[in-house]
Amino acid sequence: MEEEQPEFIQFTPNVFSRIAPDIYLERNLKEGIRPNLRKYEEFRSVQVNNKGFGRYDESNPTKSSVLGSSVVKVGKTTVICAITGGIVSDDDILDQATTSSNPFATVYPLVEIARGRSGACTDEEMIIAQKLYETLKSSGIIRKSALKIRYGYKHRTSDDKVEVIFPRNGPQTDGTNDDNDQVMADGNTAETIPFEDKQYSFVLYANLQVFSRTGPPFDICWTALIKALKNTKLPYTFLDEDTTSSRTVKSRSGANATIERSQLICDPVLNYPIKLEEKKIGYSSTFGLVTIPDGEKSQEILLADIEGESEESASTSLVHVVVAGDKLTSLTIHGGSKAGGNGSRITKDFIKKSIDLAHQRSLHLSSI
Amino acid sequence: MVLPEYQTSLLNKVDGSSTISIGEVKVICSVTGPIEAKPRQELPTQCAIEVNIRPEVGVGSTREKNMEDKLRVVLNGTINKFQYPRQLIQVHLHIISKSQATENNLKDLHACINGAYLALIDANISLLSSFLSTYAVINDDRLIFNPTSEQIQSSISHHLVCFDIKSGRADELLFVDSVGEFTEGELMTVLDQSIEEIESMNKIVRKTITEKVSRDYIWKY
Repeated sequence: MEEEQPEFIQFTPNVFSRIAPDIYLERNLKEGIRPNLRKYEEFRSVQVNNKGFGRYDESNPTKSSVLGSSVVKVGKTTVICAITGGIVSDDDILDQATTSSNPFATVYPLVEIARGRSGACTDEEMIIAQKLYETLKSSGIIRKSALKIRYGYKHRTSDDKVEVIFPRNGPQTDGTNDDNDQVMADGNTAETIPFEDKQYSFVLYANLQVFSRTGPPFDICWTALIKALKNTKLPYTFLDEDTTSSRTVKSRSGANATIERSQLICDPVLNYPIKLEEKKIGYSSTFGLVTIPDGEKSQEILLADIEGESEESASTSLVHVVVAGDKLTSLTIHGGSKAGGNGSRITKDFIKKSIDLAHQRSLHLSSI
Repeated sequence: MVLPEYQTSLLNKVDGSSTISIGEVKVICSVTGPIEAKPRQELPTQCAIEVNIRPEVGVGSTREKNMEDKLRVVLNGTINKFQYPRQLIQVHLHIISKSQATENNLKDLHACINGAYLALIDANISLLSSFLSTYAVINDDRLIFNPTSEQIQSSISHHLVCFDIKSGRADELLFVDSVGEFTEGELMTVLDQSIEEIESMNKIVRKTITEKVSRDYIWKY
């Protein structure tokens, strides 16, 4: 009987990259080009839109509670970041970040990666949010003093007009604690205002939406967060005192009780930009390292800004750097030549090369 | 060099366990496996690795999720996964007392990595290589290994470095996590010094492991 010859199975690139991502990547790299048609050390193009949808945005003032926003598009992926805020008393203990002696503040991020269905958040979303939180805290971009509130007062003048007095030097603190003495009425009146001991601070929340994820989204999320913080404007706040008298009904003497209530109100128009430590602002890059067999020996290739399923699953060795100026803020290396995939040994040369490229990328990102 | 205090085989319902104390940080680690994997975890050619980290109080948060992710990188690179196809290895860690320095959780992670190594050995899981980690800070231009909480709080950069160990030599870089403000030169110094630190740590750890194994297999020798 004649034996049947097995047929060759042919796949389209999409299917092939799913079934055997490592071989797919290897075949592409042997041609000298990546599956996404970029060069090895080429990053994706970036578009940043700083014209936001914030409450104090000059072009489009809204009544929303968004204080700062940004839209960042890298390759096919879009990240929308909105910064909102809240006010807490400094006596409240939110978490360790607020109580420790660390002079730097951070934001509380929430990351959502659109994946066409709803449900509980994934591990990746949680990890990115936590990484954003930790990296911002350790980078020292926001000082706690930048979020301190120096509030004004609303009061009634002698001719029965209601006016709001703000601290003379503006609502932003310079980190010193002599704020209370500086406060005087901003008009002709020079009366001193009794300041309450209670101190308040802003807390910032960041809501990040990732659309069409094509690779590890941390870099884009970090860029979006920084760009949004850069145009974040904090409101002027003032203390509105409200005094009401009420009569207790059931008491025999019918005693009067005066209830004083004060609340912090955010001005709908007046605002000031948040003070960031400009020198410490840096941007993040991710590099994958793959080994492809090349005859007898193998060739090691550094891929910048990894994208696509094949690159992501095949390059198990990763170098992830956040660079600010000539310093590094954060660096994570995942070695994994033995972890499966095409990962390779991390050498010092690769680390140095990654840092160099990250510097260039950071310079480019800070210019746009 | 401050050596961590550790102990193995303290839990009897799991396949391997260890407890490790580094300064004020104490972690208890258990390894169960290889066991049957849930259908969604099952991988046809290799074993699945499940990492769970519990904080000292309450349930895990995003902080623990991030630590689990980092620990998984190390375990993925060292557990001989192809030895156990379609099976599961569970690594559970409970932080009994965490670092007093709230700057970052690298000290906790440092204890977790070394604790997991000892527990994996206790569970007789096949490993591709040994691995150990070090935690160093740069404080006043000085590199300090195993810093105290005060030193952590006043430091400007923090580095966790994990190498795998072959024939007593630190071989391949498995994991690095550096935060703070540092230069490329400082990073390279940290990596070089970590190799020495890990190699000298390995000598002592290896000795106790040898003793442990000869004790465990008393009837074979």
